[in-house]
Amino acid sequence: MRILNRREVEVFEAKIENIYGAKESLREFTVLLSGKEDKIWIANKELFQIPLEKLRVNSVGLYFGRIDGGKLRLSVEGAGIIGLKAEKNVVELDEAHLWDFLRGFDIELKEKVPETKEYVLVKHKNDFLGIAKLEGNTLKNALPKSRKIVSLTK
Amino acid sequence: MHDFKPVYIERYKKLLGEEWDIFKEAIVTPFPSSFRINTLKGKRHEILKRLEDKGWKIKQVPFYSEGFCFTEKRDFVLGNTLEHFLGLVYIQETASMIPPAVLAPKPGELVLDLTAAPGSKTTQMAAMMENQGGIVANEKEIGRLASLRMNLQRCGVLNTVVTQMDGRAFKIIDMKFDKVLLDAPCTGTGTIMKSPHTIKTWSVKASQVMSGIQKQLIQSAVNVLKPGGTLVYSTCSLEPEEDEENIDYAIKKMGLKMEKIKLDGFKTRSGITSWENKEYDSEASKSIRVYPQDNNTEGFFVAKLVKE
Repeated sequence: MRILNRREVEVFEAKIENIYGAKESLREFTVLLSGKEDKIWIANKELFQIPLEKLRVNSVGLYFGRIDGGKLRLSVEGAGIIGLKAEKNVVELDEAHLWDFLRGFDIELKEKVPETKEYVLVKHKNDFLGIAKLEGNTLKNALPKSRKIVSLTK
Repeated sequence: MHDFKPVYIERYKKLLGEEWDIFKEAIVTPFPSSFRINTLKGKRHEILKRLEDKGWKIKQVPFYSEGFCFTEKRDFVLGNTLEHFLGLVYIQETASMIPPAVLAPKPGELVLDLTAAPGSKTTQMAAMMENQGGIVANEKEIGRLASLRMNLQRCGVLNTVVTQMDGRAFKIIDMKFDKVLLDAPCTGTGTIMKSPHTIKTWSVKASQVMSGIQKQLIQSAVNVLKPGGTLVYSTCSLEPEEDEENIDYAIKKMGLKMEKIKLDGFKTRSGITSWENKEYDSEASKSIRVYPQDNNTEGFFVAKLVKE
């Protein structure tokens, strides 16, 4: 796991701004990379007063997302953080589609949405639910298996 | 039908006296579902408004402002709701909210959760700390790390590092924390309703073995606690060997001082000071026993200690 320096974070923020229009989205966090530097984690800055080198560390902070084939693939929580500042590439679901999305199904959108090769943020009212890939007017569900809900309670 | 072992009945009759009959019913009776509002994902009043709009019939847990339990039977599974998906609520037994409430971690402090999985108390502490300061959430068992990480993630916790170590290894680590939570591994005799197999697996010997491990974990906790720091020791067992005996050890052998615990509106019993020909330090009475018949919750034991 490696902590990104300020310049590296700025490059990363620029990528996020380019995709979602969210400015300075990571300024308040410490940003870390793990794995083959494809997994991104964020943590509060005070956490690093703990001498981590003395511990057998499994993970640090919150899983923000990963780089998947050059595309930024945010976690549900990562989508929630960016969603608060996002100005584009956001798809809003109605009540009926919400339940299907949370169950892991792809969604056929009735209205035309702008094309993009990036993952879009998916929201319902003010709740950010995660991300999806757009293929034509189909929202390809990208919820992790562990977050899908088998049967929903409204 | 729950078949208690004769030795269990004998011990608990000795511990509870005339209350044994009430206890044996209460310990196997389902209690109301409870949950916590997660203020890391939303403001308390906004989440409450949302639950109210959905018609959830709930009441606040008396000693903890973010804890709630259902007042009516539900026709839905809490874990299958949008609010649970979003991490706005966390399913947690009422008694399990006591140890973090007693430890009362504050923003900016450094806290060790020595045996953290599945993360109920870690996520509760992170919320109390407003995602500031730092928590080391340690878990020895690799198979339990996934649930810990998943819960930290869903709750939006940013101030926690997860470690995979034998808790006893902290005995030789050179670092200090403001507060330590030791929710010790135990025989679980307070959770028979939830884990009926406990009746079969429990034995006096198992409690004694566990008691030895728990003392070693107390040594670890004391080693990494700053002078003036607070240790909360808790178990979901009601066995004196796992509870007051270990508090007696912490006072006499580790030099810790007891502090009184006050939980407004929640019935608790004082810790016992003698058991089976053993006399415990009188200060052990400042610890609390939570019996299922008193508040319709799991059985629990909690003690608050300070390192001088």
